[in-house]
Amino acid sequence: MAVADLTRAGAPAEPGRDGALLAVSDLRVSFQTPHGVVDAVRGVSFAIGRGETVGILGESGSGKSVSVGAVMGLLDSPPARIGGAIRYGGVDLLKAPVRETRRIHGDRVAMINQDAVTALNPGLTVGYQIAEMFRVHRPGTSRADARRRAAELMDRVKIPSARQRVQSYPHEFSGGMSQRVMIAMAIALEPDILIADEPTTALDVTVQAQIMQLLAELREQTGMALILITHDLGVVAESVARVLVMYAGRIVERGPTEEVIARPAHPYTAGLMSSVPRAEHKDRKLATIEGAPPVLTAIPPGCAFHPRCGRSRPVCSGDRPELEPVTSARDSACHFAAQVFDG
Amino acid sequence: MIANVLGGYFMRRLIGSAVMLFIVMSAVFVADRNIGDPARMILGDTGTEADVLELRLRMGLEDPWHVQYGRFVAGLVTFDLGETFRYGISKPLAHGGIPESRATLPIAAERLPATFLLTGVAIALSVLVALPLGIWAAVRPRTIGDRLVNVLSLAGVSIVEYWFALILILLFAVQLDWLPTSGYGTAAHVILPALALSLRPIGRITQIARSSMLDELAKPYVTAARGRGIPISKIASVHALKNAAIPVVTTIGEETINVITGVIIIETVFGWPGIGALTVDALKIRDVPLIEATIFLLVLMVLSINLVVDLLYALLNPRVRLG
Repeated sequence: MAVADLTRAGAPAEPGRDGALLAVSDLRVSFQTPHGVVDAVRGVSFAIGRGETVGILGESGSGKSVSVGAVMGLLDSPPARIGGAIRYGGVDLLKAPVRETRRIHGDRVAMINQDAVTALNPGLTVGYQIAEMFRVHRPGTSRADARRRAAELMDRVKIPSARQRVQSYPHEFSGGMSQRVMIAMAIALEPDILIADEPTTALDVTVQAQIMQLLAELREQTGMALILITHDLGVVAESVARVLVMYAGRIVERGPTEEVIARPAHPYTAGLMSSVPRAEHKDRKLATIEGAPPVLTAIPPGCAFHPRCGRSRPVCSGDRPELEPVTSARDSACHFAAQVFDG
Repeated sequence: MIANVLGGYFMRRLIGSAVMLFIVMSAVFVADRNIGDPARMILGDTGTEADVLELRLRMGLEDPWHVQYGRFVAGLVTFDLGETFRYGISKPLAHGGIPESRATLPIAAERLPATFLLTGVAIALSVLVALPLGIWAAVRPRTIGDRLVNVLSLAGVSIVEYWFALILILLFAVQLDWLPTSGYGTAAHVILPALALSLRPIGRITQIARSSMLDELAKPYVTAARGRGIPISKIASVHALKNAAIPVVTTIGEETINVITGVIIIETVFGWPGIGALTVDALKIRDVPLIEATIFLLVLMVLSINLVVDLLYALLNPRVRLG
């Protein structure tokens, strides 16, 4: 399974390529704020095929969550200004009317959030909230049937004594159990794609591992594709075949996860790798990336990373590097990608 | 299980209400015995000292205060709040002698249906207008419609009730002659007093419904529900409304209590034969036992509403139930 994923992930994701379930092309999102225009996403393109696993790696403000917010139709416009296209099954999710996109959101493309505790409605039983997926997306499902299937789903995401807990309210659940409830809702209609936006960030370390394990099992059972948003390199390394690295609203590098981690082709990715603590290097001082991520109202010209980059040359502040192949499976948006790649 | 928990919660609140009734009525007892001699008030200046003494004996006013208080508390429990010697007595006070008397509580209780009708219509009208208006404004914040609702609800809260009542009478009864100026009996009679009473509740409930819906609609669970493809109409009417309902129910309860105190003036303005008008009548003739009976019933109404609000609150907010 993992091997198959890796080979499929070998080709760079091109928008609109054959077999892509979801294709994001040249997505741009900006917000008008009192402090100026915030350019959160500045031309992001990627595609995901059936059963694929893709990680979107980046720090806060890199535009990863805003990108999936656009995919899920969660950005209000205004204040957001959204450009580009997001295609799913012949429908442009950015242009189609809500009554059409609503059939896709939650049903074919589902999402779980970072903070499950606040993402659940405190005033409704978890059973009601799970059953609602059937009642809304499968009209004609009886109340009793929806409720029975809610209990089955809670059992499936390994919530102990699921049948009794259908009637419980969210405040009776721990953070980990709440995330399981969110997952139950997300997989209720057997979506083609599950988007997980930092699904374990709010959880204890031991619970994190359990949730990632559960997601992996469910993915194996259902064959759904996974888009995992995270800032955690370790999670990416373990869970996804392909990774996109984002910086200041753009993809700076992409390729098969193992290859990217083993041999980065962008200075930012390289910086991320060397700032991860490793047991075998415990006597070495932990490396950091100099400086701070750019303020999104004033993104540096050229390569947004150049003020923090050790390899910066005059060309870096003048020309913005585009995402270009480094090998057949790898892309990097750096003028000196080949040198970085060759170490 | 939930029924048991709710049952215990309800019992605690019920006991609390009974204690509150007892405290309020004790205060009334103390106040009423410090505003002059009730017997002298009844008999007036023409009553002889002997008659006053005889009436004081009959009313139990010559007993020590703790005996009087004991009788008063026993009366609260047995719904016997004494007798009036003035109100509704057909035989005018003759010079010399003690007038006939009637039990006060039945006189006051007789007025309840009219007051229930008026307050019921006023509150129903308020909720039916304010709730949709507030929700409608909340789902389109900062639009012209929303701003209009804001201004109107602020006006509703700010306008003085009895002034508005007089304007209503002048406009709809005197100028346009569409509705009767005062009285009781037909549906047309209830319209103006109910409108006068509902103005403030409409404004207040609209404000609270709007702001609590806005709060709820900004919460992460609403965004998450949108991401699951739940229609906005359903998110507003089921998800957000259930949580927004908690402050709204509290406000409806408070406004119902305001309406109950408001009937004292509005019933008088419109000649509505309810307990509010009776209270004013009893005050005018300084009929202490009758005042006690009307206050007793008004307090009972207020406490019942608080009890209902507490119960609804527990039903709406699962986190309250164990508290």
